[in-house]
Amino acid sequence: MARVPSGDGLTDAQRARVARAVDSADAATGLSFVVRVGVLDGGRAEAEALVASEADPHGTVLVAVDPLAKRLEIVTGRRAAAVLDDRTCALASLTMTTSFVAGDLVGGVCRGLQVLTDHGRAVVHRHLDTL
Amino acid sequence: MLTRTRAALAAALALVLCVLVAAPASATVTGPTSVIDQDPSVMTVGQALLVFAGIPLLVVALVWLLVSAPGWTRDGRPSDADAWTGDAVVVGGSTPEVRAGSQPAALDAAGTEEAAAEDAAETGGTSAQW
Repeated sequence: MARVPSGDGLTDAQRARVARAVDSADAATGLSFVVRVGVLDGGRAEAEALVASEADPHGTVLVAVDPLAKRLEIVTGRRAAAVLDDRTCALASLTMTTSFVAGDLVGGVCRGLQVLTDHGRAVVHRHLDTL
Repeated sequence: MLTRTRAALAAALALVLCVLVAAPASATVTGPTSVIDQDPSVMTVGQALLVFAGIPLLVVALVWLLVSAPGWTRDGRPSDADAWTGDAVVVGGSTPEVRAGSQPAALDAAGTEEAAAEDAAETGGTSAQW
């Protein structure tokens, strides 16, 4: 279970919902998903720096949402980018921003994570010669 | 020639349909409940206003209410983004600085900015606004 620090703006239930989505994405893709909701003054550069400061920056997928600036950044590390290309990230961002426009912040994040998970899910090949 | 024939056929068909639809109106039915035998003074002015103005206005008001009500609901619901007041909330990840929502360590220490920039150059993803 992902640890969730204290913060304002999200209820416990909302944080738990996001944590479940993150855990599910981690387990399905083998990547390390990070969702950050808060002010992102540095924009894209700050988001990339956050990824670089992770323990496994190459396998990290950061979804940074700045509700006040109405800005979304999805940053994928090198290994993660091989699984989730920019087109997939754009599709996920479209899913998220569609919900954000309607005021559903948590729902948008979870749906976007679901899109990323679906595209980054490790494909299991079950052939007869591998049995 | 073929076009004129089709047009004439369509016109004839339309005429037949119109006659079939309008034919019952020409029927002369006389009886105790016949409309023809009704006294026009039976309906008062108030009843006429109620029927010919009140009911249409009621229908218009109902349609307007059905169209507008969802908008009221959506406007009344507080947006998650608008309610955002405090520090960053981070779910997942491994670095304490990231989880605390503060400035990343990679930017704090001089000399590590280049390393962060190198890593950043290898990243992918996308940016969006709403």
